[in-house]
Amino acid sequence: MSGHSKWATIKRKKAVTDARRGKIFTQIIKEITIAAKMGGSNPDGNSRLRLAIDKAKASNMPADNIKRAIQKGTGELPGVNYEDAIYEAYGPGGVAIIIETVTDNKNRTISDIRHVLERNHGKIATTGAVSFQFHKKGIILVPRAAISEDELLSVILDAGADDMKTEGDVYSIVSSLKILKR
Amino acid sequence: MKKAVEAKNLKIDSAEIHLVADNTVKVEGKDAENLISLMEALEEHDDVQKVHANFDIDDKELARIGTGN
Repeated sequence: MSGHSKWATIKRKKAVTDARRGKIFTQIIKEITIAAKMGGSNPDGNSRLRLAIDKAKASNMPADNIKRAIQKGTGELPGVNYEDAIYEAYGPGGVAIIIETVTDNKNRTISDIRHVLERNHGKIATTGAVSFQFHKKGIILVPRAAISEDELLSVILDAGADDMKTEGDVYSIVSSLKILKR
Repeated sequence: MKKAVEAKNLKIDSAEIHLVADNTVKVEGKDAENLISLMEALEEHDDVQKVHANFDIDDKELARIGTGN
């Protein structure tokens, strides 16, 4: 059994009421662009791109925007040269934090992240200091209204899930990456 | 997993890859308030795609802090 991600469910509630759609769109577009850059434009052979496109569609992003973001990644359209950068940090109460960024300027990003941490009772950690505690998992959130806990539990355990937790008004299903899309 | 859930005609709110910690740290009081502010400030930065953390905060405590409502 693995732990769970409380932030994933808190964030979902926030997203429901989040008026800052622009930020969500920007995030998804960056993710699509970098996914296409790293793994090519075909979502069937590029699971990172597949997930990003699913998220774009769930957010009602127009198909044209998705297409342009992919073309920027593959170089068919001129675009910004994005890179992944991951930072590790400590928050209040000794909480371990991992911050995933996509940036065209790593120097600016790290300096900004340090600033945000310092202003909010956190501090940057050395690479490897906290990341060993984390593992990549697929998290699926399903509203509780539609099904009973027992019924869903039997479905997902049959399908090979690691764990399920009830968090407020959603079920949070934890599975390995290998079976997330199945 | 996604297909198994969809086969039951259930609506999926989100299906994403997250970094999940082996163990969680229980946080409450002032630390919990500061932590939520920090997480929100990080998420709001334009270059940040995703933030993961190993904390656990009681739902009651979350309601008190007033996040997500």
